[in-house]
Amino acid sequence: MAETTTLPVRGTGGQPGSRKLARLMKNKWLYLMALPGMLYFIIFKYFPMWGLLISFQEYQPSLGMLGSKWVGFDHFHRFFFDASFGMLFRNTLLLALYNLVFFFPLPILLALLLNEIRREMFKRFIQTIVYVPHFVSWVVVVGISYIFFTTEGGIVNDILAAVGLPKIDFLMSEEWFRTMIIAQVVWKETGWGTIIFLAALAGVDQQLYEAARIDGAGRLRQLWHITLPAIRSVIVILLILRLGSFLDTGFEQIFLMLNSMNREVGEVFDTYVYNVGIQQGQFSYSTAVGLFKSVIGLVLVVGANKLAKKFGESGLF
Amino acid sequence: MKKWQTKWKKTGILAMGVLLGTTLLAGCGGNANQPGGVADKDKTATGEAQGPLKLSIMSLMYAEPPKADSDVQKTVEAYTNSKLDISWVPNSMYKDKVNVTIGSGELPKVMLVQNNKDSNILNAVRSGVFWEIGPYIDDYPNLSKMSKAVFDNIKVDGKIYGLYRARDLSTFGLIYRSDWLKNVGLSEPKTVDDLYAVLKAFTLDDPDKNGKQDTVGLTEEKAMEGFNVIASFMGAPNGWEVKDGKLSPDFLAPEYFEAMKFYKKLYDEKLIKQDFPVLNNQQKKDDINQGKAGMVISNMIDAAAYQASLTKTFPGADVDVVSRIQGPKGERTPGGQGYNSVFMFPKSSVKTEEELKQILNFFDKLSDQTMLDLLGWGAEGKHYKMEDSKPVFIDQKLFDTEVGSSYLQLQVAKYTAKTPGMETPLMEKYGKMIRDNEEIAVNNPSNALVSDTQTTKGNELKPIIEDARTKFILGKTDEAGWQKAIEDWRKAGGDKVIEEFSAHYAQINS
Repeated sequence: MAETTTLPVRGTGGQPGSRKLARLMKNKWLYLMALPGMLYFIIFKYFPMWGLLISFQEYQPSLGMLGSKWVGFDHFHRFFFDASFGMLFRNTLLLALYNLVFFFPLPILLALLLNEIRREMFKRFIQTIVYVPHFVSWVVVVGISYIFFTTEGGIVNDILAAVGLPKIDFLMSEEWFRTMIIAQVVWKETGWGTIIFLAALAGVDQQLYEAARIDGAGRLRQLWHITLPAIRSVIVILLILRLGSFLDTGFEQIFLMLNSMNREVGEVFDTYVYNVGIQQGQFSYSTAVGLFKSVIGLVLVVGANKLAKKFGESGLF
Repeated sequence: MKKWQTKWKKTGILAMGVLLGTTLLAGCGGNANQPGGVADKDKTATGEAQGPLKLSIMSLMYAEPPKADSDVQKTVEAYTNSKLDISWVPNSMYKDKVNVTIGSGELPKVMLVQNNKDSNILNAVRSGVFWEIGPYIDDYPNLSKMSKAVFDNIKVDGKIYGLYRARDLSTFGLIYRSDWLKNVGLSEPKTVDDLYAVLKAFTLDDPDKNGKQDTVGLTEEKAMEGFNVIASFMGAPNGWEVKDGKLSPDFLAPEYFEAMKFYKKLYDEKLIKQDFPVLNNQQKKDDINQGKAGMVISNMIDAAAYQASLTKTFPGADVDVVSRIQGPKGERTPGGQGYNSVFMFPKSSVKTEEELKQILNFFDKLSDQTMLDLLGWGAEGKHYKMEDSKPVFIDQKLFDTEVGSSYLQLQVAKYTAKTPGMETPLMEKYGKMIRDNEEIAVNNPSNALVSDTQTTKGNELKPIIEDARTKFILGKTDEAGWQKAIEDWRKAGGDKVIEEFSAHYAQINS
């Protein structure tokens, strides 16, 4: 839609003001179509941002935002100097990092593999199968994990025992917590993550492959010289977007996987906000923690965008 | 946050309506501005004595909202001479809704509050949002009979700001497979040592007689509900205790540590479900229902459901309860708070003292036996019938959806206040135990106390102790580690909680 507004406008002449108006009139239907989207962002994304102000207040619902006392950076001070801040930061960062390193490349890999399947029917079939886990709720995923990994009759541990290996306490140990979390994410989201990449792959000009084949390039060569460069910008954009929600480790999954034995490595910002903020009705404090996370996300997005531009990619903005 | 989102959503809908000029959307926004829970503000001063009392109530429900023209509601309205306008809110989102409603400033005349000790509610109470009802209670025949001790538990700064919904004080007990007990040739446990012997036999002596060692004595869940009961049996305080005029948390008591060692023994000898720290409440129940475990420590009312479910899968399976276990300090059981949620009356909607009295009168009448039976049994011929002059449910599920999960929630008396019906011997047994155990229930003195540190940091402090307890039981930490956790708790704010509780306690009891 942005492109259409730059179409040359003829037959109006005169002052720049009226030309602008004329351009507006000419594209009025396009603007009208954009209106709901714009309204959506203004109403649901920009207006609520004022709510962030309560992180600098001792917000009390009965007094409202105007009546509540201003406390400056008190909540941030409490958060940063809390005994558990270091642990929370480390846990969140590590999980986010593992997620980026171990999970992010997988959908690309899977999309590339799917792309190489030549039989359309088979490809469709596989695609559908790998999408399914996305629609399974975390409660169920965690339930399934219990059935597989518990020491009491869990399938995996039974197999380990059958081949004479010692049982491993996957669910109640600090060592296995992050592995389990990432493995669950990989199982649930890899298939779904391929959608955008497959769409990008579908847009690659088939003539390029033809030309490459005539030049004697094999499958791998084609992959390296045509496919990957073609979807590189999509990968970069998704990476930047991912960084925006870098510290969002996902509440439900971690909350459900947490227990007394792994809290030391498992408690993250999201679960902390739930326990301390939401459950105890401390809205200001929760907001302060949320704002902190958002600021980190913003810094990462802007940073990554700059970096991407430096390497000659178009970036996000 | 939530409040603002909702508020902006409303504004958003309005704004869209105006911008697009569509009457449909504008109508929508108009409706949204008129929350269902607020009744007309006129007609409060005039004609009160004659006309029915107009009453807007916000309450929680467990299934689906009943229709306002249902028979039950009509009967209630006729009996209490009122016109009810109830907004039913699902239990799962009730806390949020209360916070949003307080924020919106448009309050119903009666609001049920679950989290009456949360900082935001406390703040509202202290800034004078709600009526103090303490001075009026004794004027009503039924309300005046409500337990004063429980009123003490809901007091804020020594004053009563609402009517609590009474619940039984001590419902905990051991629910076990009595057919297994027979199979291993043991009798009902009377002491903690007996209990240990039973759990051992349930684990090792093949109580289900299938030739395999595939059962476990005790099942438990991550919140360790059962542990507190065992600790109480062994003499530990219930949550907090008063020691030399000061409050002291239960885990500082040596008996508490003894209970931890008992659990550790159960764990080491595999007499307790080995993965209990990851189990949730439902998984714990499944262990009993699937015949995997022989005992669970929980609310004894669950026993009836276990019995029903087990009889279906294992013919001959039998469930029994026991609640009195002899310990070093005699028979004890942890006492609850004695209530669940509080009805509160906002001053902004209940304008006059006169009106407040009428509302209290409504709840008083709702505690008459006629009303208790209506709320507890439903309508005769539809939900229950009389058999041997005792009420019996015709269709309990229908009752639950139409009355039990909604109108019954308006009742301030205990669920058991209705006319007793036909009960199975098991139900009679635990019913009597629950009544009898009130006299051995150990009260938690902190129920009546307020500590600012506890309200703001309580959820941060709790896991420090609970995690260390679980780790000790599983052998991942030793006594030194446990002591260190207590030190951590003290430093993280625990000492302040002790200080504040003690100060408040001294203030109340001086």
